Amino acid sequence: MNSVSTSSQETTFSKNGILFYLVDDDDLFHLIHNRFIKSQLPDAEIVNFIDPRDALTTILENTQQPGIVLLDLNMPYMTGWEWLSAFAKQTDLSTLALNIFILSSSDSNQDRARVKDYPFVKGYLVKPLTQNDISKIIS
Amino acid sequence: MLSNIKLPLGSENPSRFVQEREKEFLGNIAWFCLAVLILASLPAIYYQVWIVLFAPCSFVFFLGIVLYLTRKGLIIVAGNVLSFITSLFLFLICWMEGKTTGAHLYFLPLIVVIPYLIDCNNNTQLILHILHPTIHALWINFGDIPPRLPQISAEVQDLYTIFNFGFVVFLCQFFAYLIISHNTESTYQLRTSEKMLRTQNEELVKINQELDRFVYSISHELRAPLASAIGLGNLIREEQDVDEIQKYNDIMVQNLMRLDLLMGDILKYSRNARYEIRRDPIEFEKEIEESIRQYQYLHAGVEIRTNIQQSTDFFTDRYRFRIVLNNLISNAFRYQNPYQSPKEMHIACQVDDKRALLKVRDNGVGIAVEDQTRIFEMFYRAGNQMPHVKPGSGLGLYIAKESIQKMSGHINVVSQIGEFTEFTVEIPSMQPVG
Repeated sequence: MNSVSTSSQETTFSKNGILFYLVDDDDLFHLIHNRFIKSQLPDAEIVNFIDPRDALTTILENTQQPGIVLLDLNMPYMTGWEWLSAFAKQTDLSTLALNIFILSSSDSNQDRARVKDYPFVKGYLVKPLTQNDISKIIS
Repeated sequence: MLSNIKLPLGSENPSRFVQEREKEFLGNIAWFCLAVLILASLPAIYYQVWIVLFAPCSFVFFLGIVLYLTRKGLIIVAGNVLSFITSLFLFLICWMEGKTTGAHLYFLPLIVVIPYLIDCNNNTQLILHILHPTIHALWINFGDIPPRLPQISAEVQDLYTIFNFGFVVFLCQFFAYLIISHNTESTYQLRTSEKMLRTQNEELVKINQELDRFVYSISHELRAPLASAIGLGNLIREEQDVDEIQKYNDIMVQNLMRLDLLMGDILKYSRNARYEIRRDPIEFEKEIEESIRQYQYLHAGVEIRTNIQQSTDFFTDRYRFRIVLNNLISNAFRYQNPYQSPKEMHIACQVDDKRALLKVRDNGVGIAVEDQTRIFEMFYRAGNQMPHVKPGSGLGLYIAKESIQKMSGHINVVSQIGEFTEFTVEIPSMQPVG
């Protein structure tokens, strides 16, 4: 119910577009990051989640499908760290096709260091997304 | 959180205390040395050999120097001077009287007390200072010193020997007592300061951790609106459509205003944590009216009822009281239920000379039970799904609670979701100091 697909008008995922899951409680960042990703990668598919719990159930069903998760840290109900722990517990990380990135407004070393506890996380990005971040995500 | 910072360090500095004790101790010993010299020269005075008086009289001069040095904190120098001069003058007195009066027995208590006058870490110095009176004493005892006093009868001689011997024993005991009591007290004081330092240290570690957490949360909260403003700025640069640009711009300004609000709250918070509490007279009717006026124009259509009963003067910190009042009243306006009609706010206040009881009740959106204990936490925002309410800084109630604690009061909330919220604040009237 809370997952809103803003992926243009098409309802089917295009084969060559990259699939993005945005998990962030602040809908303003959905707006900003949707627009930005679209401007950089017009073919991208973006699925937005306000509630991290919804994101967890949906994404767990699609772990085999290549895609990118951009995960906020500071969220109600479930912090980004709790999300990662729950996710790691319920999925087979060896067959994980998803690339998970942290996308937080915090640039504290404390948070950066904590990413090392979750080796399947591909990187730590600081809001707002930049062109550099996008090229890092794609490669 | 940070409101309980107190740094009593320095007020009870243990090393300074020890130094004070040493000063006092050295001063006492110096006066006893004078007493020893006077006692030792008594026989000579009895026989009117006035030259002997030269020793205690000049010693008074050195005593002055020693006490001066002690007061200046030069305890080691003072101890050295005292030890050397006493030993020297005692020797002179004995040399003039001869050994028959037993004056040289006074070297014994002197030797006992010397290790406490000299810096014991310096062995050479210590040995020299003990050797000095020891050699004097041996010289007087075994050296061939002729008796210089006029013919002294065996009876008087015995009397003086017994008198001096008795005094030497007394002095030895007294010095031993002085040293032991000095040590016991120092040890006790050291233990107390050590314990105090440990608790202070634990407290500081705790405050430091809280400060870390605070800075961490603040950096999170400050970065979020800033990051969205930067993101919107980037979008505006790429955007061609003027309407879209206008929209982004408006959101950006909103975010910057949120940041501004947050900064204001952080400032309030730090003021509350730092400033001493003041005692101001409070007129509740005036304060509540003023507060309502501040927020009413933003939220039209709320029926406000007030019931304020204040018959006596009431005192508390006005700045903090206003923070609390403004927070509760603005919340009651902001969290109105849009589907509720009529929208109501009820402010009741009962004041006597002991305490004030303030209730702010609204029939707004309410607070869920699981949120009710957490709304006073820093950066906790209850009920995120309220599209019509702009998010606050997450500090309002936290600061209100901290302020109330500073005023020695407490705050409670009762609420039912979709029905009502009622905050109750109780503040004691501040008594005049002293």
